[in-house]
Amino acid sequence: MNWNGFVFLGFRYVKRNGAKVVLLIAAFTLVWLLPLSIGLLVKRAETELRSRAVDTPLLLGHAGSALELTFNGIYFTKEGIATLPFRVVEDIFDTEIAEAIPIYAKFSASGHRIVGTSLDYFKFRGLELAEGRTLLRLGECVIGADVAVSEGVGEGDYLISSPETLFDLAGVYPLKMKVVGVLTPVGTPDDDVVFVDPKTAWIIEGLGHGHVEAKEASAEQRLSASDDSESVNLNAAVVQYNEITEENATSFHFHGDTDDYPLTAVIVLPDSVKSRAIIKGRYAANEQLQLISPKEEMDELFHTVFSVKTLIVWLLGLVGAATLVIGGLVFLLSYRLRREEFSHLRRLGADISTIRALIVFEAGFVCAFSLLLSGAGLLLIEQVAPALISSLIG
Amino acid sequence: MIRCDKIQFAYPDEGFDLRIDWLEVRKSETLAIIGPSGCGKTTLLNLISGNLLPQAGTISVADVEIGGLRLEERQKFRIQKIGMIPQSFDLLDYLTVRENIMLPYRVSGALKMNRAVKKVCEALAERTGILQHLEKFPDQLSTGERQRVAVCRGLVTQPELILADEPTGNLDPENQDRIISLLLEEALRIGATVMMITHERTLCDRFSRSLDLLALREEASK
Repeated sequence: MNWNGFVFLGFRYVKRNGAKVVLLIAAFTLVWLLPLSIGLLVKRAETELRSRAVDTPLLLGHAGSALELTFNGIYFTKEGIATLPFRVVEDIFDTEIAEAIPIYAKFSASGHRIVGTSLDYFKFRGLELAEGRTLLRLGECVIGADVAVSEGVGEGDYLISSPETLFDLAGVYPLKMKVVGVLTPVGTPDDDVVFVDPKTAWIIEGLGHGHVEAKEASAEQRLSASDDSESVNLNAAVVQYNEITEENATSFHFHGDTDDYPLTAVIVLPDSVKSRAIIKGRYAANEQLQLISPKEEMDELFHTVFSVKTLIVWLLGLVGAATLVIGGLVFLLSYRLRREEFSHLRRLGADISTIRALIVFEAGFVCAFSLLLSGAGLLLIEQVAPALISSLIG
Repeated sequence: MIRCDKIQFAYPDEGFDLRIDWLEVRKSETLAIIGPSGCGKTTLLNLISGNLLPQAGTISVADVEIGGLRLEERQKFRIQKIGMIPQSFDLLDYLTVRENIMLPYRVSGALKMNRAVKKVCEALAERTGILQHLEKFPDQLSTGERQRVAVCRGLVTQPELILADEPTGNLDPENQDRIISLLLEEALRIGATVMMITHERTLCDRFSRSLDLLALREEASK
């Protein structure tokens, strides 16, 4: 076989018929890539979501959608769910057969979820500090690795919580939080989280605040002009702090009982299988709360996802088969149009194996190139899969 | 240069039967083959070039009996000794003019591409007036220019024998004359033998001899 002639003529033909070849490559690439990428994404989603769910024994939340509770408590993606009071954390500790980790995932800072939780969370998820220290005071935050990279912040820098609604004057005011630590990357949703103490999250919500001493308030900041009374009522003109510093930390306070303050979920860690059963039994009859097993929720979710995936892959398979048949027809017609050319090349001295190779070159080139592109596409999808999955479940 | 001895070739289903008792063409001779359509002119060229083999008789080209060669040897012999110029040009539309001219060197393992070949290609293109079109594609050329490309490709291997199958059939008289002149001048320059099929009897004067194939066949059938 004349390899030089084969390669020369093959590539020249492909180059001159670029539009046709590009269209065929695009069609064939989609035929390979679509079902494979769907399979890959579902597999990656299953691995990522299920592993985190499996690692979380039980999740306590307000009665309602178990799936929304799972996504809020484990992946921090559903912010608008009903809350449960902080006292349930104490209740669980009081049982002495389980530990509880509070989760308050409602607010965000520059698109990153602010999660109010206790220091036990870091130990539970095996999160380690790459720099700085852990949470000690109100107004401090520890950030995930992705937050540090995307916001370009590190230890000693500040992050400002985003207001809930831009036009709601009575809504949540932004709080300037000091970054005291950055976590090492772990490849989970924790990388994209701003961790704070639950009390800091409540301050963001406006349940706690700090302002000038009432007795030091000016006349314009008081509701009553007289300052003879023991109690002083302040009006809206009083200056509230939007940053917690060493100087103003003592002025921050909460009105009411913090046990009634909200959480979105509580991770429950029973100390044994028996304890798990007892705890589950305790909340089974509770109409206000639900105690779920995230693994079971994920199993149910993926059962549905797999059914849909199978259906989609079958449909794509049928479309793909039709595309391949049309592609085959194009190659066949192309061969029929070129038959004269091949016999002419034969007369010019091309051997039969070179001619045969030229006949299949176009089809081989399209198949090989589309497979190559599909492979590259799959690699790319694999790279962006975590972001894609989190945006899909967000 | 060419000797055909009692050759016979038939397509029984089509009622075609070509018989030639004796035909000899001397080296450097230029021969015009005339005859009505279907009388076997193209078949005769295919037999001489070894594309077809006679069912009886022998054909020798440059003292080599074509029928005695194996398929690959015959192909190698053809590409080295014979330049073919078809009526339909047979240019590949995805190659440039330059690439079309040098195509035999690309597709045949029997020929080696080198710098001298490129010079021959350019010299031929210059003499045939298509030098400025070397980087163009065939569909950017006029019919006459495409035929000149086909002539250049037939001549680029500097063959000893040129077989031209009505190379002027699609051309106007002015271009016909130009192509014939080119062909004969180039053949003279390299000392090649030329056999050319034509329907134009007026062109026969330009050749050293003309052969009426129908008359030759009738002679054979007597």
